[in-house]
Amino acid sequence: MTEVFQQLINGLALGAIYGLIALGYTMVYGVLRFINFAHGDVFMLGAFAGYYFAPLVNRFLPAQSYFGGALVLVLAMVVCALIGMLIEFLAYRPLRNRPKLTVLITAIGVSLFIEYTCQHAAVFGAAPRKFPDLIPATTWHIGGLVIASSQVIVLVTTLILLIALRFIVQKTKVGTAMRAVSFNEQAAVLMGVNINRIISFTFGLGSALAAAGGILYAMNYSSIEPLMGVQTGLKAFVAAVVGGIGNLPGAALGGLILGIVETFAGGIPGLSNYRDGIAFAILILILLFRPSGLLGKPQVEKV
Amino acid sequence: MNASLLQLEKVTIRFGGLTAVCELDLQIGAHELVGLIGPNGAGKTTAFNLITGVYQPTGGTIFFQGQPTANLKPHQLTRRGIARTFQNIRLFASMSVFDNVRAAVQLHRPHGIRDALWRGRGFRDGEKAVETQVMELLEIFKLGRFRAANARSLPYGEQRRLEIVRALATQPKLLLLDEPAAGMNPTEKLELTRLIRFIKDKFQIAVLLVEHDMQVVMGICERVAVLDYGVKIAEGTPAELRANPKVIEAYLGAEAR
Amino acid sequence: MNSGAKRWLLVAVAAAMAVSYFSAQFNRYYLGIAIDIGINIILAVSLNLINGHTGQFSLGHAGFMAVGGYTAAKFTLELQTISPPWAQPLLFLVALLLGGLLAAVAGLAVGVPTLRLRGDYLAIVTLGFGEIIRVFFQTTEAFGAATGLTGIPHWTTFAWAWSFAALTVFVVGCLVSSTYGRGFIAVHDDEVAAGAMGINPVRYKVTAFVIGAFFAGIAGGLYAHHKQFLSPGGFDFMKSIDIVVMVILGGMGRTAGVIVAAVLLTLLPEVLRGFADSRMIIYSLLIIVLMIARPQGLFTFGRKAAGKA
Repeated sequence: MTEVFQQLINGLALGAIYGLIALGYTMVYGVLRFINFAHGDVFMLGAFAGYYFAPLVNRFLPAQSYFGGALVLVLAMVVCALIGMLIEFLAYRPLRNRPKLTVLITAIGVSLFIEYTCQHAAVFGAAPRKFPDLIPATTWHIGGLVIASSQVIVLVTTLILLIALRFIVQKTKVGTAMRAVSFNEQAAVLMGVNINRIISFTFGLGSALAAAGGILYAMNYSSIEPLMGVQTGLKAFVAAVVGGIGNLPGAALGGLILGIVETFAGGIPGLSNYRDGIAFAILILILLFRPSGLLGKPQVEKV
Repeated sequence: MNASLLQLEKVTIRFGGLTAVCELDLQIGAHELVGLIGPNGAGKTTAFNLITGVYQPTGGTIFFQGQPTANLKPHQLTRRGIARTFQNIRLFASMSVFDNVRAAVQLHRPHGIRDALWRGRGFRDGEKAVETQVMELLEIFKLGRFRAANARSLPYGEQRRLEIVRALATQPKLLLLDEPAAGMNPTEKLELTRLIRFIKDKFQIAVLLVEHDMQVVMGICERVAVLDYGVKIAEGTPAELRANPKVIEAYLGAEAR
Repeated sequence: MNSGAKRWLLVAVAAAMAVSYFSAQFNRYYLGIAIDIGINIILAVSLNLINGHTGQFSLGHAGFMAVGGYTAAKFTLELQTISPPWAQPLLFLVALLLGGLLAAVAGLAVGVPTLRLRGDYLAIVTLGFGEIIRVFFQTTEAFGAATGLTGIPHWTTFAWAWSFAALTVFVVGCLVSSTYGRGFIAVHDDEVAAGAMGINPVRYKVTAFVIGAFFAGIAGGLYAHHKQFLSPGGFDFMKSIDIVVMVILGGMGRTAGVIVAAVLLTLLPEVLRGFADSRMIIYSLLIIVLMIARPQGLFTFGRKAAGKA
């Protein structure tokens, strides 16, 4: 029984990270209707930003402090928000209103560009690096359960970010505009919404969340490398689709489901080798039986 | 069974709480020109989609040539002899005028993958026959000179005509036209009515015309059914309907009485 | 082209064999690249049937290639010791066809359940299928698991690769240009209208997947017997994307353009070999720039010529 709870905690921590990244996919899909393949790489850049910011922050704040860790997180989020907006401005904006597949391929191109540039010896290099400990590393033993401080941090941070995101999307003017654009772009434009600003903001917001996901991931798995965003990004995307793409609570839910299922499958001897395939198996099952995802609204084609 | 080509018996469809078509009865004879009219949102196009198998009715039965059509897919119904056009023209955008019609001719041809690859004599003769057949159709409707042009580059009226030709290429027994006069000026409309009558006589088929434009329908249809809010409120010859107060009310509102 | 197509195929195969006969004269490095090009033409033209002509955007072509490659390689590795040397070409042919057939079965398995999906969703699900196939080979001991298969005989010659390339072009070209094949393009243009014209969209979509997967499987077998070893990492979704980029740069649904793109994109990494570190950066930048500047493909000028495939 403790084994089950242990796996549940591990799964929740992983799922929260998937959920954070999935939110970015889903938000961008909401406003632009395309899969931002480069999103997984922004997640990776977030982790690397944390890697480089940590020693800087440590100059004036004690190493491994919660406050220092939070500062690193915020800095990485800001940097990645800017990177996300830059990517949108340079690569996707010229392609607005072009066929979806063109944009999809461009996104794949951007993703490859980031990955290969970061693998270059002059940038990060291909070798994995050890991520510094941002916060005091403690583990608590409760009953038979082992809970790492980093896992608690993941859950707490995710919760805070989700509440903040909900506030931005539901209560602020820019969030209302975002929802308007994803509901009906043309009507939003007619209502005076500055569409470029909203799309840019959406990319920034999603990228910031991905950066947070990157740092939380790095804190839990302690090793980072330029290709870490490929599989994680794909799975987070799967989480977004499972939850119903374009649907924010759906993305968080999909992330949690995926994280938990994957963690449990990893604990079952026969299945553990297939861990990487499981996400896609879930995806296929969901799409076959509920093509619009768990929380998405079904779309009917008009004839 | 009776001799009617198409028969709808108490056909109903609900989308969620909305009953788009309610207990619709309709009959079309083998060589009849029937109109289906009604104000916007009356359920005309829905009725169309029910007949062509795009939607399955939630109640009632549709018979085509005496056979129930339940659970048949659109392409299967086309094979049995129901062809249609679309309200918002849906030509094959990347194909030429010729190929648009050619794609529709293929369903009655025996040649499949194997023949297309082996390219024997039978296949080549078949392809020649297709070409003749397509060109004949195009010539009848004065579209021959456009054969190589991209379908979407044609003027609007010609696109509408091409869509009708494409539907005829499937050799239907019943042709359904979904608002063919939409977006046409009076001269074009007049030409269209001539065309529809010509098609009916030349190909000896039945036509069901869904139309918003009263003039077109009243001008050519032998019998007209009127839908309002999914319910058939009247049916009869154009002359009968003109005098029917229910029809006038549906179109002009209660005050007009 | 109708009556001449079969003759054209025979000429192409004969030419491939003739070139192959003299291949001992050529530089081995260039010969290897020529074979790569042949294999990539098969992959790109077969994917073009699915993605370009039929409009089913698939990102899982590497998965079909893996099925064919592993099947063919396993078959050869098991049987090469007990078969007489004279039977080697026959054995190879059977291995390739078997690989193609199993890949076609995989194509059926992917094509049928994904029928309802479109656009992005279809892309991501086919990507998922491809990844599942890769994970399967990566975890199955009989296929060497993570290490892969080694010691596959070097049987893929110029003649084999280019004959199958010619066959692929022939099959896809003939299918699409026939009256029957208009159905693929009709489904691509407008599925609802195609259905109303008596075209069964389901059948055409599945057919495209099965035929496309078959040739991807053949290409996989040729690849296995060319590189002489297989590792699951070689069939990840990057490989699928490479093939998709060939199709897009060539212009979706334009066989000739896709062939040229396959040739150019095979040569590009070789040309950039001098910039070992940055060549993939250049490659990815090229994709972005081309998508922004020429999204309709490199070799398309104006609209697609009417009546041609």
